[in-house]
Amino acid sequence: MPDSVVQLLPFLEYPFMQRALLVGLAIGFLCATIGVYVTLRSMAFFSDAIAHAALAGIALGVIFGIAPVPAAVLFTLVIAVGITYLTFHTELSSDTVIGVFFSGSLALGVLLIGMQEGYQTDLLSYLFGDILAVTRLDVLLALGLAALVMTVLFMRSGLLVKIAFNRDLAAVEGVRVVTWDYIFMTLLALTVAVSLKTVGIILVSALIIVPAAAARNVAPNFRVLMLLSILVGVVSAVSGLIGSYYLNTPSGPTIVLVSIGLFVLSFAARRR
Amino acid sequence: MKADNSESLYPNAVLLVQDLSLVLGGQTLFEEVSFVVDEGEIAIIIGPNGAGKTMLIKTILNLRQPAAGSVTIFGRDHRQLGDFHDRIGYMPQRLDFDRTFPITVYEVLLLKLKDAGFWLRSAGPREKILTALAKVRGENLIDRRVGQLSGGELQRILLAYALLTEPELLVLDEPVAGVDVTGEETFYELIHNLQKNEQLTVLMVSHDLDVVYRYADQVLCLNRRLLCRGAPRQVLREDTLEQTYGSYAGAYHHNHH
Repeated sequence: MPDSVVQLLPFLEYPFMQRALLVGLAIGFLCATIGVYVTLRSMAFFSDAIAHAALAGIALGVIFGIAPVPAAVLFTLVIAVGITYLTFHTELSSDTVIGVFFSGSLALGVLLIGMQEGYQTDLLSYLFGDILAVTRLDVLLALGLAALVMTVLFMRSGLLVKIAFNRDLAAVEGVRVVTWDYIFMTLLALTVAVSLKTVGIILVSALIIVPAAAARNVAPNFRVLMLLSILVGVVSAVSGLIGSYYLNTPSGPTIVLVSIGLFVLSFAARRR
Repeated sequence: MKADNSESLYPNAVLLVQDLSLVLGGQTLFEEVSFVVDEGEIAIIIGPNGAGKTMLIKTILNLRQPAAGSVTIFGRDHRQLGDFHDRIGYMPQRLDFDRTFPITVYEVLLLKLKDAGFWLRSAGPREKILTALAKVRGENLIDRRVGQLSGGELQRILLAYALLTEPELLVLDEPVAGVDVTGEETFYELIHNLQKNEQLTVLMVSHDLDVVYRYADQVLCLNRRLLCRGAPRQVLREDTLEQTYGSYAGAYHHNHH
């Protein structure tokens, strides 16, 4: 790190902060991008539910000796597919189905964690995010997964917008809407997993929802909506991490409070 | 084998519906519906509320899975249309979308052009979009937000969307629901002129017998079953209308003669 940069941004001296900021940039970008589709499709509750399901995934990973993050990805995928399958194949409304899975998987997670001795400190870092816990492997994993998800999201953005805009129109054009529902959920589960260590289970859906919501207050069209959402996501993640360094606060809540601040600003400036 | 037979029986058929039935949640919405729409024809489905008109359209377009029967479009099974999807333009009755969705008319129409990059602004797609908008006299709407459009404007945009890939079959679900009478007049004239100029085949739902008499080559009376089908002046009689609309037939009849 050049001296002048370190003088200006002293926290960059620490490798853990470098790693955290890299991951922060990646997840700020990623959550804000997927968040645009999540909010357009009114899937905020769904994304919150699968984020909370990650807790049980982490606990199962610990019990069976699998790395917690991949275990969380697998478990959230199972929950996501379960919710979608039941919504399509029963008369129950989607928020009822989500509610059942949400509470069920959260209860399972807490129960499993309780059975593990001496795991509680680690648990807290998964719940609220802990930048000290971000390892070099986490950085590589986060950047790799973020790149993968972003590629699909941008290569297929027209298709995803079309499905969000009107499913029937998309289907008549030959789009396999149900297949894309499952692909989208997989991307969302991966996004949650990537964000676990920095933002934490409880608040990851905030970083998905709030930047898109803030952008929607002021955006005149879809392109601007996407750009502003990404801007809010990245600014929140990076300045939240720096804030948590100086204020000695958990990173997740700090990031989310910055994004909420930006939401309030955009609400004040909203298009009427 | 069945498809081959039907094709030789109906050489000009664009749309072939055979014994189609739809059951949802144990309730039969319509059953044993069969008809043929030939190339260049305007076929109009009429029937009271709840007769299954919208569901029939959706089943034909493979948006609902039929309990029985088959649908052939351009000689292909409707579940395996492949690249024939582009030859069909569909305009839903209501556009189920969030009015606050920040998306412009230009962006919505861009979604239909598969090869146009969604993030790159280029002249090619814009020109195509303007051409489609010109057909519905909506060029001035190109940069408007879709959520700000009036009911009539939104319908014209949906029609432009349906026309964008220059389809041969246009399927319209009750295109004037919620538009005032003067608006209705122009919208049907628009469809009629397009149909003549572009050699389109049209299948649409309407509740207006005046429109049926004026524009339909074939009328299909639906009330759970197909109760009449043929040229309006031949098949729309007191008895068939009463069968279709029940006791309200008199009122419908009276209004239009």
